[in-house]
Amino acid sequence: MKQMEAAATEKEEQFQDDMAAEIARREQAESTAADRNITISQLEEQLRNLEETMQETIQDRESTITEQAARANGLERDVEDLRGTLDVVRNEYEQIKEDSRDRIADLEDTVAELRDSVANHVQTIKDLQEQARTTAELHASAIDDRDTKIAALNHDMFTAHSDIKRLEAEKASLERRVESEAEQMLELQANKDDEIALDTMSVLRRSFVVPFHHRPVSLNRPSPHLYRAYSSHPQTARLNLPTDFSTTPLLHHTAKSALSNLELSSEARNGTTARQNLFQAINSALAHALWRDPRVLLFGEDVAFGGVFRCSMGLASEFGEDRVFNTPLSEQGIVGFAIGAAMEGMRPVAEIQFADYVYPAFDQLVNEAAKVRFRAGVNAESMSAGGLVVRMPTGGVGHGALYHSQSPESLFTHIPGLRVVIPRSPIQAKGLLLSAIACNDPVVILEPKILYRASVEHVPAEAYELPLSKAEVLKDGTDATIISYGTSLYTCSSAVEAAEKDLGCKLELIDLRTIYPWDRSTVIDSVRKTGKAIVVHESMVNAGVGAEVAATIQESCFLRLEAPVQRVCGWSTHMGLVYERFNIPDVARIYDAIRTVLDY
Amino acid sequence: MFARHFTQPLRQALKPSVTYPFPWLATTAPQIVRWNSVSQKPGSDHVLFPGAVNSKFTTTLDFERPTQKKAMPTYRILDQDGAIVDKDRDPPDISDAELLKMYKDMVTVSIMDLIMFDAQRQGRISFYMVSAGEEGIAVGSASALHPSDPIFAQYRETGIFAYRGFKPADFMNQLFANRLDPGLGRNMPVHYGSAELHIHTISSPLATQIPHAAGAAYAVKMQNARNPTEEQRVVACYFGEGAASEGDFHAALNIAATRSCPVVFICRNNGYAISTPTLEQYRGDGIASRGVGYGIDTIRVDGNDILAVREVTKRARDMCLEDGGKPVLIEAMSYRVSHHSTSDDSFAYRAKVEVEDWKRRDNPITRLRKWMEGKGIWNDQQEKELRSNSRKEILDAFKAAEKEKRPPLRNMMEGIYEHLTEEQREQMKKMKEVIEKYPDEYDVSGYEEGVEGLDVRKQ
Repeated sequence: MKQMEAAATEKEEQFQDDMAAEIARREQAESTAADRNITISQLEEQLRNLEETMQETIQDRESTITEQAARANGLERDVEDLRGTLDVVRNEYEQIKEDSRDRIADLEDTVAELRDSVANHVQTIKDLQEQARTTAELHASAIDDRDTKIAALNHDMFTAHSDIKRLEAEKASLERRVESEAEQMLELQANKDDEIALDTMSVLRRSFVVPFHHRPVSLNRPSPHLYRAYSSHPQTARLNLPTDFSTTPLLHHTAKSALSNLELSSEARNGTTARQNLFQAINSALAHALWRDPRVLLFGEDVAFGGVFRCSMGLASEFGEDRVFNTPLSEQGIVGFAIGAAMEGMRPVAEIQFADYVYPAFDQLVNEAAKVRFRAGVNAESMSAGGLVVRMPTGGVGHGALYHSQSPESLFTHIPGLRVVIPRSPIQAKGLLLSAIACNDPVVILEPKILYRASVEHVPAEAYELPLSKAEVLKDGTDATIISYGTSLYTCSSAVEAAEKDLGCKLELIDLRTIYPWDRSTVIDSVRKTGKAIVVHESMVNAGVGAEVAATIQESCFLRLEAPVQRVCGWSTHMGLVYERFNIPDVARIYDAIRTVLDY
Repeated sequence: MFARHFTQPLRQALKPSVTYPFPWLATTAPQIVRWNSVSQKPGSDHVLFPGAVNSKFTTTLDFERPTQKKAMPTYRILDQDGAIVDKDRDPPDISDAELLKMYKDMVTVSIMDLIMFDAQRQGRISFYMVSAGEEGIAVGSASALHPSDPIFAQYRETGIFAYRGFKPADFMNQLFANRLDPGLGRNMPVHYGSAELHIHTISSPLATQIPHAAGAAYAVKMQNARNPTEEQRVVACYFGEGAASEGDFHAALNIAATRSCPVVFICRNNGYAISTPTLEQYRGDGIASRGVGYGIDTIRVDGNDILAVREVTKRARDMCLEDGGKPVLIEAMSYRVSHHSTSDDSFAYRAKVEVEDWKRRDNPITRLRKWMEGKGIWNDQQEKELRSNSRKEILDAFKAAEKEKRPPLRNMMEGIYEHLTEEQREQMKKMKEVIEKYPDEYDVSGYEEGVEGLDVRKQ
């Protein structure tokens, strides 16, 4: 029990101790709790503070976020914009890159080209140097020849100086004329409508002036004088001298003599003149025709730039390329086309570049142009080839050989239905061409090409017509009649002059002008008077115009003839290059024929 | 002639005979087929008219429009720098020696052209025509022909004479029309001809040689058949695009096609016929389209590429001898760098700058030179030597030829017929009498034999 008591006591004591400890612990705890409460309130205080702070911070943050969001949006837009800009820039960049690449390629090409060009230039320079060396050599060997020519040239120079003075005086007068003509033009423009109403003939006779010198005349082509003469005239020659076109009586060297021609219309006779060569006179006639008659057309090979002989210079620009134009290179096409145009009422002037090249058109001329009227019967009035004119340069030039010196006129004179005309001079060319265009039959005009530049005379400025199928007595005489046409007339004229001087005779010189249908009565009348006749032409003697003329004389003047009719013509051969001067009748051969008939 | 008159109404005869070629309708090589009947099976989809045996019926109303067709391409081997364009192709089958010959011939012709143009300007000769820019067509095609193939040329193919063996003296004797001129002083300068070289004498009129070539080819074809063991020949014919407007050109192509003639027609299309540009010369796709229209195998080639011209001509020559013979047309494109002739000033109708541009752009001589330099067979030194040698040879021949007398005067009359006529003999006698009667009026010392040159030779 004791033990129990002791144990209880001990237990009690233990309890007491525990209690005390507990109280102490509780007191301790209470104070701690109090402390804690204080701390808690402090913490709560802090917490509240913190919360407040937080609240504030959150608000701050929220406002910041809003701001940031706004900024972000702004930035996004900026980014978007920038991206757009970037795209644009990138595109531009690509474009520029592309361009640059092209440019570089181009530049490379250019560089290559330039390099080539430099190489070529170097080559050209080399070539030129070579050429220069060559030329120098050629010149050196030419000097000898030149020395002998210098004396002659000095003489020419003297002549040229006096020519220059004369030309200057002419220039002044021409300038005065240009002014007056310009005035006339204005007047004519005003009267044009009235004129159209006039009948054809009165229109033909109207005084139209198309001043030739209003158009530039390019003379920059190589002068025919540069060509080498294949057989020069010997120093000793008295007869076989080149024609002096500045003095020949066949050309009118003054306005007065030109205007005294009674064949001219009174308008032409009362007008002025212009010094023109044959191609300028042709040009002038074509201009008149194109001007006054809208039915006139002008075409052929290389016609638009003025033609190889410059006859159509300035006409394409003046009258438009619908009326003056180039054709393809086809003579049969050109002539056939012209015939068709004529059959439907136009007045086409077709140019064949050289008479030597007319043969492809032969079928059209012989079987069509010449026969259209005949086969049309009662329809001929409206179904002929009237108004058709075929022009072609003809004859020798000294160096034309087989295909640039032919005179094929007698091939056409064999064809009834064609009128065949060969003018001798600028005045004749203008008047005969205008008649041909007005004629209601097809006309073939062969223009002596050596006269295009060589023959120069005063040509009436007005439009005028000279009669077709009418010969002209150029010089009256009693002892013999010389019948010719074209270039040969100049040779005849020189022979006549020499023979009259040497032999004391008086010779008659006739220009046939139209060689078919030809003026038989003028020739017959003359031969009946003189009793002697010589026919002269360049083309071959065999079956030539001379044969027809001589036969007609024999038929009609047999009893008056005192000597056989002579023919001085080209031989029965083709025109060989270096033989041309021996082939074409020269002064000596005609002179000899004159002696033959006079001595007979 | 009568039949023609009655069957061909007037209006039709007057219509311009423009025949547009329809290349797309053309069939393959022409076969000679005789159609016995125009009868046609019911329901057939073909036209059996004899004039268009392969034409199908159509219900579409559709005109063939040439302007809407693509232009025929232009064959070339070398580019402007002398490099092969098609890297996959074999190099041209040609020896170095042949290349050098072709080059030398072109250069010789071009140098001669410069000298003689100048000589004409000095009045030493009466006329001249250069072939500047077109040397490659003449030399290149000549190199592909057999030396015995007859040639009918125009007047701007000096290179074929050079290639076939004309020496400077041969050219000069003709140009000066001296006693050694094979043309006997009768022809204008540049109208060369040589029986030995099988080149017929040049004639000035345009296109007249084209039907000759067809007829000659027919002769050659018959001779080929008779001599099958000998070299089978063809005929070559040259002309410009201007000449192709002449009726003769169309007649020639048509007859050559229908008679299956072994002829190579070589058209130099240089852009100008004197002043007339191609636009005013023809419409449609060049001269080549005409060939197709006539049922002729046709090719267009770059005329500045001599190797292409050669290759094309070689192939054309082979084709000419296939299927019993047939014509082939080559249109060689180039540019007339020079004036038409010494009588022409082309700056009256074309701008100088146009010519200068062309000159700079391309040229058959420099192109071949570049190719040869690329191959390492040509250099500046050789070029210099060639040029100075050629010039010297030409000038030596020039001086020698100029000194020679002209042929005897009887050549004015001889050669018209095989034998002089009685009339001509009398005319020669007359001419001689006049010269002897008026000795002061004639200078015949420049002619061989003087006035005796008019004596008729014993025949």
